[in-house]
Amino acid sequence: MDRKRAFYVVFGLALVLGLAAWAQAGGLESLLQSIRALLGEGGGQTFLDFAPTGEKALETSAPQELPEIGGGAAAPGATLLSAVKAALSEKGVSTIEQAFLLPPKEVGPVGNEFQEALED
Amino acid sequence: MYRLLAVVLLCVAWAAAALASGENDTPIGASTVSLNGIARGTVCKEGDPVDWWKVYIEGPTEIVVFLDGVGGDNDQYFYSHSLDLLAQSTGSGADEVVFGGVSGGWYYIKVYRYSSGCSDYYLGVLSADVSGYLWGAEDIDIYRIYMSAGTTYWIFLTDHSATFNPDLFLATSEHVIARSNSTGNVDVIKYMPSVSGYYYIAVGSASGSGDYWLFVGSR
Repeated sequence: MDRKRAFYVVFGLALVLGLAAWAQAGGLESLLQSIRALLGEGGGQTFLDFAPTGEKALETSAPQELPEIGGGAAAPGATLLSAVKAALSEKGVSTIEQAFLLPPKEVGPVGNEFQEALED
Repeated sequence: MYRLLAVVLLCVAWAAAALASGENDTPIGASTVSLNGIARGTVCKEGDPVDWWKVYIEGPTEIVVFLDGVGGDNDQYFYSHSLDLLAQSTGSGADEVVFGGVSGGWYYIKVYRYSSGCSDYYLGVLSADVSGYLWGAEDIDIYRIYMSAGTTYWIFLTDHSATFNPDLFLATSEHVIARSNSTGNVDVIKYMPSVSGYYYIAVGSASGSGDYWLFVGSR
């Protein structure tokens, strides 16, 4: 009897963990993609906030609107233009070092930049 | 009976290991990051050195794929839907970036922990917010953007020319806050404003003429 009970407990645990692993591996993603596709058909802006899955969280962010100066947008003024021009030519503004731009440790088969051929 | 129990226990061990490593250790189990979204993850040299991500891009566009990690050395690889390596970024730091034009479809990204220990990271896939053209040295384009206090912004500027060198600036209406003057084909400014309001992104040509693409991600 005890052996049977132990079997059911272990089997139930395996079932729960298996379902959780399946959901994280792709089951939930498929569902979310379907929902996203349906939302996209409406043509409206979607704001989705996914619940964290373990240590990994997914979020979307609203696209930025970047109106170029002119055509009704508030002008930045001559002060800014002259400041940028001065910085551009004199290199007077300190650069914030970014590790994004470090050179590769070793030469690989491809670099950071790519250009995929467009299909006909 | 004991054989069945052994099989069940093996299943338990597999499921537990899969959950512990985050499951996205292979392209088949890749997690999804949405275009213009920024995802969060963790890689550890011991136990979970690789995370796979996938992104769907609807059509031809310019993109930037960046990895903003904490500490040590992470690497990033970018693949087509058929897992052909399109680009790689293997600098000696925790931050990496690849950029270029894609035709659309599914793409895969591999995050690899090169050095020891663990690293939390943000992974972003951004499509170009705007593209423009600068007509020679000291030509400047300026864009206005509303930025919220406490939000982190990643601003990227790319081009594909060997003779064109644009620089990237972030400014208030009166003065320049930050600049990036990389001589390569990508510039980046990461910034978290302490005051909400309108800021200006300036793109100026240090030398040459050419097309450029501007990307802004936030979280």
